[in-house]
Amino acid sequence: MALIEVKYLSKYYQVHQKEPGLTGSIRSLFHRKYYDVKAVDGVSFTIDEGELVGFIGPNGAGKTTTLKTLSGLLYPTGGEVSVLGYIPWKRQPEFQKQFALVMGQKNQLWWDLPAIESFILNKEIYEVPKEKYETTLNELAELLDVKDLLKVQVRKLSLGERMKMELIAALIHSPKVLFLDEPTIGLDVVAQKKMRDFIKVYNQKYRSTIILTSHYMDDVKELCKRVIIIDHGKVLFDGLLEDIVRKYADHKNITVILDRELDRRQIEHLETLGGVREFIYPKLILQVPRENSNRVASKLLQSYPVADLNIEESEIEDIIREVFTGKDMA
Amino acid sequence: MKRYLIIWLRMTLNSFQTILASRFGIIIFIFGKLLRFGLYLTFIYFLYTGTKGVVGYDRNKMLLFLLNFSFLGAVGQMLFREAYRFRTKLVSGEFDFDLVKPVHPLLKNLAGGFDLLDLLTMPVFIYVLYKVLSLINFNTSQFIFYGLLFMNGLMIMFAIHVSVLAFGIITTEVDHLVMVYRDLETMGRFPVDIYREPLRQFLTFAVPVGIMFTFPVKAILGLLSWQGMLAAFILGGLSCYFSLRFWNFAVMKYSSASS
Amino acid sequence: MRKYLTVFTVSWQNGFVYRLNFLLWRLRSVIVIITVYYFWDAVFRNGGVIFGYTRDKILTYVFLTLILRSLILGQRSMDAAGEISDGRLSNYLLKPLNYHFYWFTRDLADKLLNMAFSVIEIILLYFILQPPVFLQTNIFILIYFLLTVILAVILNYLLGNASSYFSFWTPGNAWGFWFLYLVFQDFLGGVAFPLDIFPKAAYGLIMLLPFPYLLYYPANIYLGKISGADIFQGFIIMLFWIGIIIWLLRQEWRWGLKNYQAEGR
Repeated sequence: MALIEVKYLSKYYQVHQKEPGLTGSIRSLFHRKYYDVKAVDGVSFTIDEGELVGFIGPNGAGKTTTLKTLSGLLYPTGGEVSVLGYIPWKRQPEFQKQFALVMGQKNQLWWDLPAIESFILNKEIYEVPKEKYETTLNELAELLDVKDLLKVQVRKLSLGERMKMELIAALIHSPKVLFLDEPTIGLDVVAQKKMRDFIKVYNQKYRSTIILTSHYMDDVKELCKRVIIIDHGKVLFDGLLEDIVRKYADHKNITVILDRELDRRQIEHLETLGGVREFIYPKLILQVPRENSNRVASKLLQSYPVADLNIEESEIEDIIREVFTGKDMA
Repeated sequence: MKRYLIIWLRMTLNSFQTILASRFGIIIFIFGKLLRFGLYLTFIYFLYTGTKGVVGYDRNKMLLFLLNFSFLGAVGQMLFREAYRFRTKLVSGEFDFDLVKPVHPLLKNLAGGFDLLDLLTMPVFIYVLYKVLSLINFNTSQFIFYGLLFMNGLMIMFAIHVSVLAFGIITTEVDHLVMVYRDLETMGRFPVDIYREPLRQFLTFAVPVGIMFTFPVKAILGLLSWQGMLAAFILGGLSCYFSLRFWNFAVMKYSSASS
Repeated sequence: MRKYLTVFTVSWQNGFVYRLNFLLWRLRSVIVIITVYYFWDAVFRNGGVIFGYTRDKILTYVFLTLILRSLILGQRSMDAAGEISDGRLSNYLLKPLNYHFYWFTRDLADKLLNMAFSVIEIILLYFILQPPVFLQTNIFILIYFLLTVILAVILNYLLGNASSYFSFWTPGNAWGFWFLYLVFQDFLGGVAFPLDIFPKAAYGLIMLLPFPYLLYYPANIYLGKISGADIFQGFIIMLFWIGIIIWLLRQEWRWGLKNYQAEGR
């Protein structure tokens, strides 16, 4: 059975326009022109128990709005949503005890106190029994490697450490459903990696259902089998990550390591073989249509000083970018 | 109910620890509060060396008004301190965390910041209030009515704070609405009788610092009619009811508009 | 100089953006005026002379100080305390900008904006309250009065910033110092009542502090209540305090920056 069901969800915002300047300000006091912004526009999907789904799309695509609707912060303009069998925006306590929301740049911890105090407060709010609380806290602190930091003032923690604490605070009641909105934003590469590993383990170990939004393709690539791509409030793609590659990657990348510098004629001739993605001697990357890749490769081997050559699928980032620019393909 | 109390105690404990984290701040604040309190007392004392009565109240009665104001005001601030931080939380989006939790968001955002500093200065207020009360003649029923009207004042204060928070949700444009209330509140430092009509009526029933601060003292002095008392309690009840309605409306609006 | 002019205009625009905010800000000052005014009105309702003041005299004083208040005491640089506490100060330290002048400019902009509006309020309140008014005609007194007002603006700015800069040592608690400063302003600056209701000895001591020179002293210069040697003495004390606090500010800034941890979210 589907744990999360979204049908034709839409969310419009009314925004008013103001003419520039003081006269505009005064005029807008009395008379305002409104127009609708379609943040989410007819989105449908279902998610099963234990799935880890990646939500991707550029800024303002509607990812956060969708997550907020799923957590009951927003009333939709239209459509139906059911999470764990509840209607989120009724905000029933029984529902609220079964999910958690983590927002990367927002802070729910008490700033001047050690994180453990916030955990205890959440324990009371979510009515977690004492033993359960202690085992959960131990496990999470172990997994995230923050046992020594529990008693340090939150304001003294680094961003990475604080995000880990935010996660513990959100997970202390062992939610069945977890919404992660940009959990790795602003973190350094090492911290991002640790966060990712944790999410993966958590999903497998506790069979919790997770929706993750992220700017970083690495997060999605490593964590999510399934992705939902959304832009301008509409779903562009919903399926397995590897299917995107098959569906949209009509190009391959040929990476060449050269033996010696090219002469002018050779350089000019490159353009006829394919798109030059990168050329910093001795490395050259060409993007060529999928069906031409073999032909171009042999051509390169014949008439260029090639030391090494590799044919690869396009980077997932590039594919996604293509999905966004050529929407008609969907 | 019991669960809410436990959560509230937890929050209060956290809030105490936050304040205790800076010993220096505690000293400064308590010193400032007591200094202001002492200066007001001194001022009234001096004033009455030059005059016998202000709008019919002698020195002790005027002091009682002042003390009741300081005490009730401090209790309100102590309980509802968290309201002062609400706008920041709203603008940064941290309010969202309170909305997804299985407790009423007002618990955290109104009562979640119990103020230790006010608690620490409270004994001084209570002691002086007690001293002045012992200089005044009143019977038991007058004292009971004082207590009831005091609670009623606290209820109106609750309603005002809830409305201020709700208003904050509707428009984040205003960053000091709660301070506007505080300024209005200071109009109740002395009995509203000092104001001339129609301001006096306005302050009594509309704002309503008269009912909150002047009425309890008038009751203990036996100067309040039963109609006045009834009006006070009705207004207290209505204000609570409507402020909560307003809060629900604001949260509804928040959920259907903001992003 | 140019950049401070820009700070000035941006401050103004900022004030206009939040219209409702600004309106309420003004409302707050009106509330204070009405409270203080009616209190004294009530004290003198039956006539008589208290501490050498008649009803007319006290209401003249109160109305005048209330006008001066919006000019001298209105202050924005309280925000500096917040900026130091939460690390936003770093943004300024990186720029070729003098932080003290930056806030002084913002304060001035704020004052002028507030003044423009308080003119309307004062006219309105004049008709509502109908206070007795005293017009000073002596041109020398008027010039000296103007000088004391300017010095009072500077003094208030300095005292306020000296309070804010304590944030370097107790981030998050500078509001405590501000609170203390506001209490001093109210009671020793002459906002709540004229200082000469105190007994002679206490009055003499209070006049040695910087606070009376914020409001009480300029107001009484205008009213012609201070004369002869007292004018001179007051002037010296005022300059003395301005000097002392400039020195204090510099020390705070120098030692504070060493202590500054740019802690922040």
